Amino acid sequence: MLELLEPIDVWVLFTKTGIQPSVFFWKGRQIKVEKVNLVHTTHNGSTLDYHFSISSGGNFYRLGFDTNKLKWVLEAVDEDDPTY
Amino acid sequence: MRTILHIDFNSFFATVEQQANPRLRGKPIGVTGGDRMKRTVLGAASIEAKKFGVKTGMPPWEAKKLCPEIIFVNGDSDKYLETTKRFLNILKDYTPYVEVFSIDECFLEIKPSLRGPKARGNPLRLKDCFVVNTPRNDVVKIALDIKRRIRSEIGEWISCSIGISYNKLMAKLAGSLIKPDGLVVIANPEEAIKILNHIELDEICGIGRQIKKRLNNSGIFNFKQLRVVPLPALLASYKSYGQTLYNMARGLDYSEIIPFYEREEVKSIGHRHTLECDTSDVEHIKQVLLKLCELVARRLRAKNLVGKTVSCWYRNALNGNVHFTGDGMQVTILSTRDGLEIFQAAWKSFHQIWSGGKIRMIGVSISNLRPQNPETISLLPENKRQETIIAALDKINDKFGEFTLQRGILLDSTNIKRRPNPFLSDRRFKL
Repeated sequence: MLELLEPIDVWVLFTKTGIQPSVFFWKGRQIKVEKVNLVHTTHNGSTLDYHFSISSGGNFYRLGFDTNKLKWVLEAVDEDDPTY
Repeated sequence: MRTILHIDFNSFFATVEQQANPRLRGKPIGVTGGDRMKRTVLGAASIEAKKFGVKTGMPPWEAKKLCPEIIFVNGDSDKYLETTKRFLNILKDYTPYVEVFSIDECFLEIKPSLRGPKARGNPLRLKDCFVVNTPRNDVVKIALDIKRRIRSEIGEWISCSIGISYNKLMAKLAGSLIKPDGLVVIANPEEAIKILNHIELDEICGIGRQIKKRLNNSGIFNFKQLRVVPLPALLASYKSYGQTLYNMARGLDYSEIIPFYEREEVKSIGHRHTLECDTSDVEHIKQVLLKLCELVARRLRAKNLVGKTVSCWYRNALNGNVHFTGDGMQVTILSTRDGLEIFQAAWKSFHQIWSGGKIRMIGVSISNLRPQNPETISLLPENKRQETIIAALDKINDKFGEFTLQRGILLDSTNIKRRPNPFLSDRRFKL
């Protein structure tokens, strides 16, 4: 598994149950979030970060959202045919 | 008769990792101690890895030997703690009598109370406690509902074993009988005796390897034999613990559920760290110890406590030995919550017990705690200045992260991250 902290663009859905990443863009690819498997939070000082563990096309990605800066990063990638 | 449920997540850390990353599901995985593979042990092994004999507490090299295909995953305590919180939010819907036994185990007590609607999905108020005279099959329905909600609200890969019985001891035993995803009822003491007669002494919570050995040395190898021993004889050999053994043999346990919202008094605060490599470098050991003392002091200040008994201990490098050796010492000082004062006491103790050889781990704790009273605050200008600096330092670190501001000597020190222990200690109240 590749661990990184790469800023990415994300399309997000604001649903009744909360914020949900829908599509993100990485290395020229548009990756659709098929399922959010787990969401957890961490605190860095007073900043709350959300971490979304998601699946797409049999691959795993973890997206991080900094609620202070309102920015998304790609934190982890585990793919069948890695392009990195 | 009481109705107690014991809920135990199956291979908790590993299951959570498999829930997060479906590519790990069905595969043998071992969760290691965070950011390092060396000098760490497995925090958890998945159900698949356990089939190869891989166990929690095993070093990775031994796990790899037993299961070459095992995948090691860095542990992430924030993930596990969050999962526990969500789990507790589910349990609170059924009863307020929820005891957090560890990060992955809970006891629930279903008590007869005022009849009222089941507060599904809403926080349960005490007066809304439900179900009068709960029949056994209703409790089984509750257990099945909990399992269903864990899967649908936390994750479909997450399973738990549930034991139902008339006390905590037997509920925990019931839960341990079928793993994973078990549901076992031990309805009464007669059923309990039948099951106790078929298990080993150390399969019950409260009898470990040492006690089992002592019992074996006395010619006691099972609960049937233990039941024959008169109470006075057990008290003579084991003091007050003899009563516990007497009760265990009969499936008896009178301990109460301690709800998670009843904050336990903190008795001590401590931290320890296993060094990246064995060392006898005095400056490096000093830095690590100071950092640990600062972490302890931060927690003291966060709880508005001071402490006066400082304990310091270390573990020697293995050097070809099979068993760890080490030493420890404690000293009482004036009540403090200052990291530097704690360090000065700990360092002095360390020097008195350390032979100068390479060490592998060092730890510090402070006990004899009490609340910080206004009367104990010093009026001396130099102490007030120190308090002001520390308060400002805490404020900055609270906002921007641990050790954002720190003592100069720690600038190039080892990164030490505070992790919750499996029994959650002082984090319990944060749930």
